[in-house]
Amino acid sequence: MQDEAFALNEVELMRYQPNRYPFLLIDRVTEVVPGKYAKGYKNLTNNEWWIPIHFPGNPNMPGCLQIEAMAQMLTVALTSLDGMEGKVVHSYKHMGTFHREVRPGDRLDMESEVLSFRHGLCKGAVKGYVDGELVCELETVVIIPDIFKKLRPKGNK
Amino acid sequence: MEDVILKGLDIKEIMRYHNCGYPCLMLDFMDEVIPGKSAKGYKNFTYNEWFFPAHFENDPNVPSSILMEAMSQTLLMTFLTLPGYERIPTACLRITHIEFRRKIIPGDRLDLSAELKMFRDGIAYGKVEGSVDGQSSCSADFTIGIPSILEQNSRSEN
Repeated sequence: MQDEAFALNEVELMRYQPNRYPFLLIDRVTEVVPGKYAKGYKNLTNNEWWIPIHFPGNPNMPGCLQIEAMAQMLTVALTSLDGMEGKVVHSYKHMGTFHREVRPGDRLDMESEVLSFRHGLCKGAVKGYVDGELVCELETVVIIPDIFKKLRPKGNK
Repeated sequence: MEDVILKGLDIKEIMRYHNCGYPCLMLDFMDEVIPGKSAKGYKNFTYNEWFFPAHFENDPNVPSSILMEAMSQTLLMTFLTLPGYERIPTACLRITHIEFRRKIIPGDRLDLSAELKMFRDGIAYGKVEGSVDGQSSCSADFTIGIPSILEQNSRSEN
């Protein structure tokens, strides 16, 4: 397992992340240590698809997409492990907290941390910042179905 | 007379002056606008914009036409903020001295600054510069007309 931190741009990120336009909600990964943590950011602009509808006259980033962006940052820390490139990750349980609106023109910095990763099930915590101010938090459990389904007890449905 | 200075215009206020809307509004935030003189602002670029998947598939970068649009919209802010000019339709007449100096990729922030050199009889002329991380990345000179005023003038001449 690699222990050194490395950075990813959009093209390199797409090797590890199966999400694509218009649902790839990370622009750059500034630091990732596979299996441990990932840091990066997403730029917000007026040119995104939710701007005209959420909400007309007062655009801000939908909370579900903030959760998605944070969960994607956590999966980068997992899928950058050896042999896991581009694996699909499903969410199992999310708990999100939102402290203030995230608006076009902001840069959403995200820091994800892997708390435990065993048997294809990962517990993690992600925090989102704008200009150093905490704006959203996520406590989450995600699963990698490829691994998780193989290990799940058969009798239990 | 002292100049009016508008500071910190967010999307709601930009839309008060600007005619463009999604998906062609290429400004996110104006830091400082001095009506009739200059404008400073920025645009964030994110992979979630409509031109990145196609331009180009394996190497997303900002098309130069998008940069020209962003630059001209910054110049528009210098005179649309003057009293009586809000949301007036405009037309681009000439663009000269266009230069693109570096590739801009998703995740970059384009800082834009425009200077209005002349504004008379419905014609505006100005210079715009764009930079990324303090590094100059594009610049151009724009001549922009306001069709409703130009038509009025040509009618009174005849």
